[in-house]
Amino acid sequence: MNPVRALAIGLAASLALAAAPSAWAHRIHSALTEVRPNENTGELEVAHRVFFHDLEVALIESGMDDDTAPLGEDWLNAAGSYAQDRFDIDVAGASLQLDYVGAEIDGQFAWIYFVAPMPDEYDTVSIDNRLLIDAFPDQANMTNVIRGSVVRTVLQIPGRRGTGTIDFPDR
Amino acid sequence: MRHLILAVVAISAFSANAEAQTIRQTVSDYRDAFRQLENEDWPTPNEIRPAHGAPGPEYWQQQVDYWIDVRLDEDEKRISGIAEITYHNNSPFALEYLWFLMDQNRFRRDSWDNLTRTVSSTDQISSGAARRMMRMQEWEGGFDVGTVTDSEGRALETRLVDTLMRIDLPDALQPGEEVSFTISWEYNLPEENVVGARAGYECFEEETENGDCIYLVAQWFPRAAAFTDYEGWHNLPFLGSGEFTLEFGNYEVAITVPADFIVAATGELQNPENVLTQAQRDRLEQAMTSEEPVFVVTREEALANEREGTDETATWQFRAENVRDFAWAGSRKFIWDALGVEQDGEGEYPDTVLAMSFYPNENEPIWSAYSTRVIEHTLDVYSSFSFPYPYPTAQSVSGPVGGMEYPMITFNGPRTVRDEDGNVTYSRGTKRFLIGVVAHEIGHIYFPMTVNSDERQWTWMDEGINSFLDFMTQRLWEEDYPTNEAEPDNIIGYMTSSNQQPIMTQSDAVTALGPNAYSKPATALVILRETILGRELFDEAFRTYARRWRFKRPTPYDFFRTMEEVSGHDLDWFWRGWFYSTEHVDIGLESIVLAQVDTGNPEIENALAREEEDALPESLTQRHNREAGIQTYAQRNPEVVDFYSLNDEHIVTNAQRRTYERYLEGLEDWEREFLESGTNIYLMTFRNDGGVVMPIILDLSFSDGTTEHVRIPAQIWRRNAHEVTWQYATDRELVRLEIDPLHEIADADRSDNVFPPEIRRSRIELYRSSQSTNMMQDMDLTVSNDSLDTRPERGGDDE
Repeated sequence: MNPVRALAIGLAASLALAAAPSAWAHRIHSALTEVRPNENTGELEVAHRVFFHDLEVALIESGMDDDTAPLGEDWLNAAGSYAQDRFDIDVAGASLQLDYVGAEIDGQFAWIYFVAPMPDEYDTVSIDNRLLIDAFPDQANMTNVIRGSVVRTVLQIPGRRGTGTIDFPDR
Repeated sequence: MRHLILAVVAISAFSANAEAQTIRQTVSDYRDAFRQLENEDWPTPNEIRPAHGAPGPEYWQQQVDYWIDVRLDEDEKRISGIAEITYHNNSPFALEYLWFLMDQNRFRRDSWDNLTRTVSSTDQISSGAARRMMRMQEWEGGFDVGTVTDSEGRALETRLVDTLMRIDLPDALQPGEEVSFTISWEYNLPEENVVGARAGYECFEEETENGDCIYLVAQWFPRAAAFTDYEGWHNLPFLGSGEFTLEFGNYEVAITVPADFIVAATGELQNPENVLTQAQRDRLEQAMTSEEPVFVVTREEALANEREGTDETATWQFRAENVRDFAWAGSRKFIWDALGVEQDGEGEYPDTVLAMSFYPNENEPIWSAYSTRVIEHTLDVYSSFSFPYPYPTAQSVSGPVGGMEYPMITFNGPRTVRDEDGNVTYSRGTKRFLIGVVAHEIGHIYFPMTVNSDERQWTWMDEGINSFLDFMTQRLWEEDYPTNEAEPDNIIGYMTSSNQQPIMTQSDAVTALGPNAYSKPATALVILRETILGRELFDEAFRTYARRWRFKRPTPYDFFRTMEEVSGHDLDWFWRGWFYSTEHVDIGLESIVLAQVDTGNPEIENALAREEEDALPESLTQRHNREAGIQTYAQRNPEVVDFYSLNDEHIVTNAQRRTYERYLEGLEDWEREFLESGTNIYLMTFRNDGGVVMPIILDLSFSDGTTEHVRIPAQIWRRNAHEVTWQYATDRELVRLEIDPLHEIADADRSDNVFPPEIRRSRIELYRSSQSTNMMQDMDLTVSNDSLDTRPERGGDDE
């Protein structure tokens, strides 16, 4: 991408989000995503676990109506749309279209679920996980990509954003 | 059993004789999960830090006292101060220079933090990073040091190394001596929401607001760097992540601010008659004995204060004894409530602590409802785990910092939402966050403000221990309170990730500080308390650690050693697995074998052997012959039928009976009883797939409907950390087994935890099944009685 154009896009984003609150100086901004095949269903499952309060802040910043009833159907669907727009996965070089399954709250965490048909090949997986980074610059996103008993992790933290790729060892 | 042992010996002896060639060793995969950490990963004990974990007879730490006069320039958003600092050298070493922390230098353009910031991506820039970058082009922070002079006014040489400043002394400061000197400085306050500090200002500039600001002031004066027995001078720069390593001392601080400000600070206010009204002083007095929080400044008074404004100033004087830092906050927006919290100060600490909260109208109504009450609850829980709260005040101040702790004062962020029509709401998440963050930050006044661990070296010692205790605090706030961060299952994702780092990693090198320094150590301590040691032993050991090291500086080894010594448990295996390794927990069931005792009784054993043989399928050839009506030779010629034809090899012989009788005569009574009991012996083989050794916790269910909960200590893995076989004897028939039934050890893969195996469903499958079971109805579709074809549901008004 043209660097001048890239800067322009970035600055436009900063103006749009100028009202964003600061990062919490002393709080955990981290999220966990698990990507794993499900042999029972023949699907690739993607489950995001984020702190509920962080998600709440991010949803409002991203434009969700303040009046949206917390944890209501609209709120959960907004969480789904939010996550869908901020998580990309390529498998064996092909972008995967994820279908939103649902979202739920479990204690301090919000879980957001997606599935896709299981791709034929599952040796190389690329992840761009941008959940919550627009709200919290210090957000650390950890994506565990699982095949059998092997776990490979893509870590996206300040200074290490963008797409990360993992390769599974030969079977 | 005796026969079996003999057989093994015989085989071994035979093998050894047969192998008369060059020895080629096959190195086993033995792993000593219980190897001791003493003198290996842990430093050699000495008279300062002995092996039992308490401060030793030669323990020492420095003391640094401050007299400070500081002024806030509200228009310029600038702090100016002058300090007289007295450094007491309690170490056994002569000091030629003193190092001080100049943490505001992090906001200089040429700071190591600023210069080493890396970009997220080459094709995008985050809004936060862009905003900070723009601000740093037009604004610069960092200390402007004026003069540094000794007690006779002579200038002292200084040298700056990023966020550290060395002051050279004309004469070495000898052990037991003290030196005083004066420093003056100024700096620009950072706007917290833009540059991301741990303090700074925030102004309220929406249409309905009048531009007033809240000032949270911390890391605002040259603080003495720690000089310790284990590190010498602390010399890690402040890069924004690793927090602080500080010395205790006494403070006298005069804070000059606009006269209409309310100021909260570390310590006790010394001149209330100069800065508070008589009504405010009366209300504070009333709060000391009140059952519920009392407003010292009401909402109406705060709003009126915002409107009035003033050009005058007032000086608030505070005194704080034996604190490791000093922070303060000021604003004309503050509502202020207070509550006296009673405790048993054990003759050392206050019997009444003044819990106070300061917040703007924008935070109401949740702050007046919860903040001070959470302080009260937190003091109660933390003191029960450690020692009485040691200071006269405990404060929660609202501002732009999400959560940050200092002695006696904390900064906390949650806020209500106000829409364009002025409607005020707050979400479930905001309430939870407020309760959680106030508990967490107030808890930090115990750890590390009192138990003075080195935050920059070992973040887990304050954040992990504190997260453990704030988890306990929230669990005791309300039944089923939704806090689950330290529940074991929730750390599995981090522990199985390929980017996990050991908890013992230095703070600035940690890539995911949340799970590494907060959640994992907190979870480890929950497991240690609830599963490994039990509450009684854990609580006594933990309380001993806290009391031994209050107002002192512990290292991780002092914590580890104290927990072991007091509980009577060698826990090196636990620290090794949870704090030093990047392995995870995964115990799986490999096999179960049912064995029964060979009674030696031919009447029983021969019959069993016959049963086993009869249970085998008949020879297919013989069966087909019979079905075809083919007779055998013996059937056609019965004269060849003899004794052996009529009796199989399982017939009980007289010789067998005589052998059995001799065998019985040689047994002791208990052996005979055991033989006749018919006991089932289950040989269970477990695998340690994750690496971290942990207790094996079992739920066993039997065919008679009974159950048993078995807890096998982690020491079962001491000879083989990969696979063990454990025997369980019962006269009942085992029908089901589950490993870790209460989800208490963070077992990563539960698919092999159950016998007989059960189909496990993924979280998404469980979620789907918990949703409506009538998808057709949910999709507003219908079918008719005579077809499976779906069609849109009809409205109620249709025919």
